[in-house]
Amino acid sequence: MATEDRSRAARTVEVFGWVDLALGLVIVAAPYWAAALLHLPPLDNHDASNLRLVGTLVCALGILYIVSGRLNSVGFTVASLLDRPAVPLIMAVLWLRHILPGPLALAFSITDFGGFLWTLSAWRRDARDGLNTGGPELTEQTRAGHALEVIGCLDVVAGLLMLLAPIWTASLLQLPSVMSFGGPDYFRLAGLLAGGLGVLYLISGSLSARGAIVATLVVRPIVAVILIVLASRDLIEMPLAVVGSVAELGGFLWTWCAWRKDVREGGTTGRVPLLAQCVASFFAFVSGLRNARTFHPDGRVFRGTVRSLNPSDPALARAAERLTGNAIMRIGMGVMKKGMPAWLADRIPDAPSIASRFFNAATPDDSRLQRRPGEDLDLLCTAGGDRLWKLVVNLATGGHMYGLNQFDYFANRYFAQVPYRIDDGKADYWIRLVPEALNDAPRDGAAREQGLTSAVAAHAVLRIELQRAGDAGEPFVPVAEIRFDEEIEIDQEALHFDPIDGRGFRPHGFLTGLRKVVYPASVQSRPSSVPAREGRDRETVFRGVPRYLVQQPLYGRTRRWVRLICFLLLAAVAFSIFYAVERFTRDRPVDYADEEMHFLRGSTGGERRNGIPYWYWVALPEVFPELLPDHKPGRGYSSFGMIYKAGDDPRYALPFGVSMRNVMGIDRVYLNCAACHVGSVRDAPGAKEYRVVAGMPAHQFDLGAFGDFLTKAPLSEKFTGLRLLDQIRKMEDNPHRLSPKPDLINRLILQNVAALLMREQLIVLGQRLKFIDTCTWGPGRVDTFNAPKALLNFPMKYANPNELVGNVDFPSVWNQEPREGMPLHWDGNNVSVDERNLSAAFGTGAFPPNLDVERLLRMKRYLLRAKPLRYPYPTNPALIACGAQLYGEYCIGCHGTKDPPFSGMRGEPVVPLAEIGTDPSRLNSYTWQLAVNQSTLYAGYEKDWGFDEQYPQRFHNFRKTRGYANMPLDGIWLRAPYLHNGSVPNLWELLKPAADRRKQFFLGNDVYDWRNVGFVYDVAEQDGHQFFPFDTNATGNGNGGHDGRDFGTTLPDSDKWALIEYLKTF
Amino acid sequence: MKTKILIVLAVVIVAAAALAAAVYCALYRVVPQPASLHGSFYRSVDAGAAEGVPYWIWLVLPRIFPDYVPGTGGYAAFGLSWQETKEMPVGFAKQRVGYIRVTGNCALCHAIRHDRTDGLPPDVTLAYGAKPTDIQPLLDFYRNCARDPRFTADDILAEVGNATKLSLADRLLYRCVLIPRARRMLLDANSSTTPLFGPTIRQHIRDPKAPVPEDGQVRASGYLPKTRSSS
Repeated sequence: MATEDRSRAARTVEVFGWVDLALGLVIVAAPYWAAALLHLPPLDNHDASNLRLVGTLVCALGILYIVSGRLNSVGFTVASLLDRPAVPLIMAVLWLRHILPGPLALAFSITDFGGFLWTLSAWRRDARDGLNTGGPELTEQTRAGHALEVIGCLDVVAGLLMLLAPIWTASLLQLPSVMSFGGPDYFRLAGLLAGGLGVLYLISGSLSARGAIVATLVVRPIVAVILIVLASRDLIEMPLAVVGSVAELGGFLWTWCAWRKDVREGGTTGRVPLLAQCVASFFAFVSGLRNARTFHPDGRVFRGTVRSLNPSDPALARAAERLTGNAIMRIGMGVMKKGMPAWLADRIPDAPSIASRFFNAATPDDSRLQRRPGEDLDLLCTAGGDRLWKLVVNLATGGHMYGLNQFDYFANRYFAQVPYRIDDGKADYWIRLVPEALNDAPRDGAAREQGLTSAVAAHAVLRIELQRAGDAGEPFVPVAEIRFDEEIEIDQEALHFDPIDGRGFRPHGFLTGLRKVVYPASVQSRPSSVPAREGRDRETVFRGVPRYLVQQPLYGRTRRWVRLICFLLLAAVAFSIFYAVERFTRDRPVDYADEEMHFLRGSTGGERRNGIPYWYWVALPEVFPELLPDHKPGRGYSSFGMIYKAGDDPRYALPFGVSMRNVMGIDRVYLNCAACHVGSVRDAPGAKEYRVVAGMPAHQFDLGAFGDFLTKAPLSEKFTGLRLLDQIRKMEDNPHRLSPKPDLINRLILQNVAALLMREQLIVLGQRLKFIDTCTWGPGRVDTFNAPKALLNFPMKYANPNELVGNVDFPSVWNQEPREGMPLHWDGNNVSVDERNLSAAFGTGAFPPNLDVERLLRMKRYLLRAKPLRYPYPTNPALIACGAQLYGEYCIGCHGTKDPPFSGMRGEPVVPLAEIGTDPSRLNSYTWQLAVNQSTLYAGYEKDWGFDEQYPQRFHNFRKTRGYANMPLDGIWLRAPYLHNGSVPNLWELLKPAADRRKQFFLGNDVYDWRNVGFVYDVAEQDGHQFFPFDTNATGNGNGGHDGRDFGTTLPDSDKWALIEYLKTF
Repeated sequence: MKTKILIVLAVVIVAAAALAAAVYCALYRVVPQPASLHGSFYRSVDAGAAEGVPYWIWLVLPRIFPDYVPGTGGYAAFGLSWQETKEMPVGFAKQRVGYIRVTGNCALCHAIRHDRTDGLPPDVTLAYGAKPTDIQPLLDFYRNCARDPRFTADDILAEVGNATKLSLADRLLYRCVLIPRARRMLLDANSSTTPLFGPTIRQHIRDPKAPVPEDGQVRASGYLPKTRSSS
């Protein structure tokens, strides 16, 4: 394809393309640097991925501009002139809605608008040189142009979806749900760019711009390659790359095949561009509605004679000769129809027009109703502006510009608005009609018509003037004049003016091309004669609409109603498919901006596997109150000791430690880390207020009873979808609900499927865990390592009986950073905080395939630095000082200092059992067989997940130990009861010799005993809530050990109180 | 017409080449183990691409069929030694031959486990010539699994789904090729025909008194003396 001498505008387009390409490459290659340069907020992985997509699209735009500019594509230049000026407006909107940061919006606006202005000025200079007069030609559309146009439409739709519904689109594309709280959204920016690209394609395709078509053939494979390369190096999210490259390659193949076909069979197809078809349909619709022409519905027709004025220029003289002869003129107002009330017609801005037909009369009264092609010339001239856009602006602003006079036909100048080539000459000419002015100045519509009548009677004259196109300063030269002869009666609805070639005058340009498409459509749809019009005017809409639907449209192969039905069906099917895919692949957790709240309520991913539908969660305590500890419905799960925020309705709100996630369209809940690591502290019995402390052992939460509830309920005959749905229906309208009322699809699922699935899962779980007696746990306790044996499906009938009870107290999880490298878990079996977190996450249902790594890491970062609540009750400073000394003497060697980094710990971090003497059941429950099997967990994940050091995720730190680990005592006042199995209720008891410690007490009370430093332990029942009777004689509950001189149990009482006072300050 | 035929031929050839490459990558591309494993209990010995049990099947079999496992602890219940923090018991070797598979080496039998009374993990020593570890329970286990109606792609992939998320390609490979093949090979296997070992070791098991011949890459005869127990 040879490139002829390029226009200035095309050159500016190419330069703009290089700038865009450079910017795009920078953004793709170094998004973080670019973000820093523009002072954007710091990027996380998702932002960087989206920003790279943005960069890829900017590169694509750049290459498109470069190639199109190189190939001097007029259509593309016009498209870019229409596309770019919208950018600052849209950027302003996005900035005001906080979707994009200011500097970025500004950068885009400046480059795009600046480029637009530059190309516009180049275009105007080109116009002065006579280039592209009248705009780009609108010709028959090539197949490639059609392909480009359709792809452009799809791109625009895709871009709009990304811009206006980013969350839905991201979910449809299977992109992971992102935690962003009010930050910039680069995904929407990518959507905007995709839409802009689509607009360029759409307009270029409509204009069948060859240069643009070649440019897209170059760009698309490049974009596909860039996306694939980025995805292979994990720099962009895979779904974006897959969808993007498939779309690009598909588009490339289609355009390529269409282009090849065009080359083989010639470019003309008789096809009309979609955009033009839309315009034609619109005007056909309006004309049909009006039963008349859309513009200039009514007018008056006059006959006249044309004579030359003999201009000196030979070309003009030739033109004048062509025009000489007879003429009919139709004069009327543009907008108002006859029959409109006069006060309205006089108020609305309107512009008159003169449509004239130049011919040579065959008979004296020939009024040339039918145009003879080639022989006759139709000229359409309108007042109010010498270009169409000026006329539109004029009318939109009240009709006061460009000398428009609504009430005097003879005070206006009438412009043809399209350029004409005469007799294959090189130059373009603009035509206008200039009437002689009247003496009087009419003031309203009626006077205007009267003025016209008298002017015709006086044989007024219209001068035809021609201006050479190019310089706006060129003069209009009068070449001929039309003399009004008389008004004639003629069937105006049968009179059709066609502003196409005739008598050597050839109109061209965009408007001409558009008219050639639109006028026939309008003609087809309006009545074909005056009687027909009068008939239709009397019709009701019930005849008009069916006629409209049954008619075969001009630019289509099927009748309108068939098209409508097909379109609606297709739209319905497409919408259903997209909706179904998005809904049933949805995975959206509820996120929280606050770090602590994320720990308390955020999701680890367990809901994907074990999630209980929110509405089942709400219904279960109401349907199975007999399985609840206090047998009372209406209090949610509070009887298990789950903590609700003060003021929340426990029937509908979720307690701390339960997270929610929408999976496959259903909101589901399950436990998260905080279930076992959030506790409450009450200052006095019956106190309404209570402190909620994140990271504290959940000493009041009976996990065993909760698990029992979940595994027993499905065994009841009440556990059916129908029964649960009956209950849900009773509760679903409550304003406190956290999830919307189940819609039809969810109702069907909850009724017919969900209960069966849940029952199956819970029965299997119950069977596997049967060997564990959860009744021995009590609030605040769990058998940590017998559950993994169940998950690994060890045949427990072969187990050593002494490994079957490993009940321990929940630990605290604050201050994790200084604990990295310390032996973790009560028996010190793992030194890695990350591994311990992942292992514990199994308890929240987060197995390797469904763990939400990003959210878990966010919880981990919170726990690294989380601090325990400071002791709020009064303390004695003198005693504290004394206690500090004693602590330094007796305790620091094993437990370290009060604050991080807990230095001072000496000796073996895992104290041998013989030395510490505490209950051996927990140590025995963790067997070497379990330890080695845990080394197979998380195998297969070679990619680094971004833990602090390079971490092949497979567990490789679990070891069998011979004792219990020493631990720092941070926040010790909150960690009652004490020892690994929670067998000592408070610090005073711990400092007693083992034989003197309480043998029976109660667990689960959250009222604090500030004297003995622990929770109240001797109350069996309070406010209808039964506490758990703890017997130290039961297996695993032994309270011996940590006893003797080295452990402070032989100190005098006053020393013990001092030590306890000091421990309160931890 | 001729161009069309040429184009079609070219497309067919390219497609066939692509398919062949894919099959090679999926089933035959042997990746040598990292050098750190060379002197260890986990070295792949005498095993070509045809041997072994696919890794994910190997991993989940004890979890799907606890009724055939004679104790707690998965593979540790078969009298095998298993060093702490290691991914598999002594004597198993994990290697990629397109897909990842597990084979046994000499240490599977010749590593001896010494149980302790204090609950700590057993010690392991190498002994050859004397009474080796009896791996018949392990082989019986595999045979019982293969004969059980639960040895299907759905059951196995469901349990694998608890441990990892297999890609679509891997899932198809397991479902269509690896699981049926493993079932066939484990069905009637005894110690001299089990797919767990390569041909040299199988020959050695058939006739333990004969000297172990040299084989191709890793010389089975030289493996045991070079193995250090601390790896």
